[in-house]
Amino acid sequence: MVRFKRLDDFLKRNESRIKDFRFMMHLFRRSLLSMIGLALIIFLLLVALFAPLLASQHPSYVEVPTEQGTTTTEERWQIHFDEKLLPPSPQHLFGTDDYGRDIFSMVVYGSQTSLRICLMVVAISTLVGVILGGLAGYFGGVIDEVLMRITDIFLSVPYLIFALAIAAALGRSIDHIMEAMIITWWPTYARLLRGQVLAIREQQYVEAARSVGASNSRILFRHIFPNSFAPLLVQITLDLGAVLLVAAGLSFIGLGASPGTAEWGLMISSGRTVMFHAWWYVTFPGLAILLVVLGFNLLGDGLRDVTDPKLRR
Amino acid sequence: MEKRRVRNRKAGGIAIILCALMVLVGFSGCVQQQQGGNKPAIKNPTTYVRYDIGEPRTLDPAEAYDSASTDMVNNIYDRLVTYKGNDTTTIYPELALDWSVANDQLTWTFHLRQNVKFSNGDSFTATDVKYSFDRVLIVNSPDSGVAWILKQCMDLNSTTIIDPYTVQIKLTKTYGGFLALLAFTVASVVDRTVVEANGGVVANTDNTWMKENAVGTGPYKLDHWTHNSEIVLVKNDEYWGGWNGSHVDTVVVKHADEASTRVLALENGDADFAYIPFANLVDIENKTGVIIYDRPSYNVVLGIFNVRSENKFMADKNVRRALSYAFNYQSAIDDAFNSHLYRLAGAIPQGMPYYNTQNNGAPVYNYNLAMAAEILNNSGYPQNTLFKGNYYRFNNTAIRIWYNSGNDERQKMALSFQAELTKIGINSVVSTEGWPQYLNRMYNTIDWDFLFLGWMPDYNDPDDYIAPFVGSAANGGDTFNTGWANATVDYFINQGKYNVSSQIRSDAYTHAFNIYINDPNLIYIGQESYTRGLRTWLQGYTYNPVLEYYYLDYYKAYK
Amino acid sequence: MKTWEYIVRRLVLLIPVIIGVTIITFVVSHVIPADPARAFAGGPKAQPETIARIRAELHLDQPIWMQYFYYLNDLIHFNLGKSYLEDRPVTDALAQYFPATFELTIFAMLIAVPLGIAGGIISAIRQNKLSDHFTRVIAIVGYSLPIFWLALMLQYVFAYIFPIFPLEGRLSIGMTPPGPITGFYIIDSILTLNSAAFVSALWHLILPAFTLGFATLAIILRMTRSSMLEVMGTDYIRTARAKGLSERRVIYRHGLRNALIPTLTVTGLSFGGLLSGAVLTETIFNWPGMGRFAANAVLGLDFNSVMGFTLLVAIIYVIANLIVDLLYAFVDPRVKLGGG
Repeated sequence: MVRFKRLDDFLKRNESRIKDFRFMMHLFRRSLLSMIGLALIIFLLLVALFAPLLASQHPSYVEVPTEQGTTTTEERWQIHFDEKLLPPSPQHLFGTDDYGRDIFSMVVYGSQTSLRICLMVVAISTLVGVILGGLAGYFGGVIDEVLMRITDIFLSVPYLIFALAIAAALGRSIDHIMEAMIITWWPTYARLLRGQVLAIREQQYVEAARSVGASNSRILFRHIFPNSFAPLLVQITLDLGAVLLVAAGLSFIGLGASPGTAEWGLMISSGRTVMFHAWWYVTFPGLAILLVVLGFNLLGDGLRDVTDPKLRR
Repeated sequence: MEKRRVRNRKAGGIAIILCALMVLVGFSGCVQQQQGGNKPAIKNPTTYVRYDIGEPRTLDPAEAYDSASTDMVNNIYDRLVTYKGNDTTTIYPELALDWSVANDQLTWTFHLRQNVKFSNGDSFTATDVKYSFDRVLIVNSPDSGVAWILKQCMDLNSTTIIDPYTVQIKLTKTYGGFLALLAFTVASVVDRTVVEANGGVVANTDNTWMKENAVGTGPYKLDHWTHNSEIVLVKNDEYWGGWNGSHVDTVVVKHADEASTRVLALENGDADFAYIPFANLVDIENKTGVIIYDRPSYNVVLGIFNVRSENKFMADKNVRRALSYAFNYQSAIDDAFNSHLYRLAGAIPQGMPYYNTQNNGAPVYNYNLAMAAEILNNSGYPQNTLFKGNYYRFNNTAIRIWYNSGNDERQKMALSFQAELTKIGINSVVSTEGWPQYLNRMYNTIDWDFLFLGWMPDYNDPDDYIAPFVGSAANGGDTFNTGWANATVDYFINQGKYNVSSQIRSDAYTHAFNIYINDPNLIYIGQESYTRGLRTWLQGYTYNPVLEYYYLDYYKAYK
Repeated sequence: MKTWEYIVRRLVLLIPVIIGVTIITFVVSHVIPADPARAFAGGPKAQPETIARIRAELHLDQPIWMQYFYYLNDLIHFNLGKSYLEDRPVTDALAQYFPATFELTIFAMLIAVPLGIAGGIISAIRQNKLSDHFTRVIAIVGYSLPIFWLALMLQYVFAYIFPIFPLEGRLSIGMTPPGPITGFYIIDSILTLNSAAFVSALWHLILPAFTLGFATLAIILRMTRSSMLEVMGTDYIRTARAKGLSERRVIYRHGLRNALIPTLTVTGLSFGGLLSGAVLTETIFNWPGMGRFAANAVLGLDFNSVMGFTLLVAIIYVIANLIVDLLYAFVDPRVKLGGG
């Protein structure tokens, strides 16, 4: 049976890698903080997935025509002015806001928005950065120089500030802040990959592969990328948290989610004006952000520890 | 041995810190107690402190137009005439002792007050008056355009000096609100010597020295201005009115954009007066020593229709009438403005002359969804388009509703209006953007159907409202770029504008109202309450919609 | 390569970076349709001549690349344009706000660095004990917190419920700012022997500086801890111990110096985080600094201010990194500038 043979071959070829992997999992499991991080992230995923079951109020999604002639889906929550600004109670676990909307439901649905932002920004930045950085590092020369100068420009301004300037210009929407963050974030991955590629490129096994006549793409995909994977994974995990913080910050200032959307940063901003007589509006979305970012940071730290060659064996 | 000693030391250290914290908390609690009782000790007894949003842009009367700037100009400079207290109808003498108008209704003569000095010791004469008015016209402020107020009825030949204490002004056309106009800051009197020494008068150019400095005959003079932080005025010892009686010596206006800051400052007495948004009034209710001051103002809240929208149904007056019935006015009052809004009957706000020409002050449109649906059905806009299980009108075209970001009240009204429209089968989209983009949308595009805006008075005359609102663009009106125009309404507006007889004006405004209310280009939502937080020790404050703050009247004491 | 050569080379490299930053912010901020001319002329009450004049002044009717060259030309003459939000030159506004932000950032560092290092050392020494776990958890939470939320919570608890600290601003109401000599209230109040202003300024600095520095404190703490642990396990330290030196001497004299090197790098890198954090912190504490100015400019679409601010931050950031690299080379004899 061909299938099993190919599987066998794969296992044999990657035997040492698989042993490594199992050892890493073992180390990971032993670290309490890493496991807590993992638990938090799984919790986030579950909340996002089962939001309709957990929440007591649900937004409706209405299709509306946009200026560009397409249609977009808008999130709308029912207004209950007679229930505005109620403190936490069994009916409203986190209280209500100034439109009478249930904050617990909004926090729960907000997890979907947050997850979407984090994943999209990091995924696209990584893709763009890895390709550009990998190519630059491998081929060197002019491509490398150009990339270095371009990334210099982007890395010379702190994330939030650059994203601030760009998002302000593009206009207020979640999509625009995602675009702004992708523009500011990809250079980090480009640099990371480039550094990795430079380091690995000089290794003996790559030389060996090249002397045997392996093509560039084979070398890149078979040898270089797999070995760059670990630090990249750590960076991605940590960045998922960082992206959430920047996105929440931009929404807080007023650049991100449109009003009426359940987005954590926006909720804190709206809650700020009534903080003195309705502390719950600010507190709970903030705690949500904290727990999610904490989860990503703990997870990322754990991954960094287990993939750090100095700490192994 | 070693370990135990370390642990003891650590425990001791923690105990000390805890004690210190408790003392601190207790102390601050004690301090609060001292301020208890109904009459807390007056802070800064001779200084008036106001916490507000907004920053003055200039101190130059020829340029000042926004309220933060005019506030300062009002107290540093004087005008020929003024309003007093909360009287909005009587014109009082200030730098002019008396005045009269000739039979041609164009030539006014003013006799000026003598022995008046500017804060630097210079004497005030008729020369300064002519200089000030001509200056406004020549400078023609490029930054604010406020000169239009005088340009309406004056030009460079209007003002003549008869003698050092008599001035004659010959208007270019009769203007019903001329005296009201003279009470506005643009007609303030500046010191000719000072201006000539600091840049003089340059055509179509603002004077940068006058922007940051001021020498006037008013009760206060500028001490210092730290941009975006505070501006401080101190007593002008040369003031012609003298300092008998109780007055504050120093005026501090602090710029604090954060509502919570202003709330706290008012609570602990650092602020004597603060602008508190409607949503935060609950934070200062029932706090010791704080009261809420609440009066109807002339600031109106409007919904604007785009009659020229690509959605052709907006041009149909029946659609706009129906939308006027679909708006939930009570919710706007209760929920968006926390009850601090009064219904508006038409373009002229309550308190202004000729308010009763508008259906005697009773609003024509009230929240009535059934009526709205009926009008739409009878005008050929049935609810007949099926989309995702619901029936919509207008072929499911969504009405585009806009408001400027950051405005909480407008956001509430927008989202509420959207919900109401859905109930009668009208789909809508609510969007927001920053102020510059918002204005661009309104003036340079037709990419909107409905938006929210407000209007504040320049001076106390209905012409300041009705002409911009329902006058046509050709007649110098349509300030909200609705695209609406009606020649008959224009005729009546001009009748009201250029006549001094109250009977003629009253009739004109009544006729205009009867026409425009049945073909509305605006939804007259309401006029805002002027609501501020005050300390109970502040005396002499009274609200005047056209004079805002006059610090000379204020002093701090318990009655 | 000699030190000054290196410095000059780095500064020269600053120029293409600046141009790149300006191009990006310029293009992006001029892409959207807005009517700043009308907004700056007074909105609905604007007169047509006023609007036309402002449009001409801003060169708004010219093609975008022409506008960019006007901008570059102004830049060379240190003219950042006029802030229409504040109705004065952008350079004036930045000059007024810069000392406030700088003072805040310095104080944030003064809180973050000593506490971070001390915490890191204690954690490393008591590795795996309760105090270590406690400190590590605080640290991780520290840089997972949204800074604006931390600011609001601190404000609520320590300025409202327990009114220990002031809610906002740099000085008590009614107090005239000391000086102005440097623009730093702390320094100016010392120089003018104004003890009331000194106390007030200090008291107003605590909450904002703590908020701003907390994340950096956390990062420094972790870095110090891990590099201390690493260093303490090396042969070099073992030798010192074997030689009979006291534990204290071993830690401070030998361990710490080496452990501080990565900490230095991290401190430099977190400077960018401080500048970003300043935007949010200043907004909440109404601190009259560049961060608050930037937030307002961004919302008010005040192009010139946004570009001026971004440019300034880029310059500061690059120079700060340069200083860190120099210090790094100074402290660690193994590092050679510009090479290796």
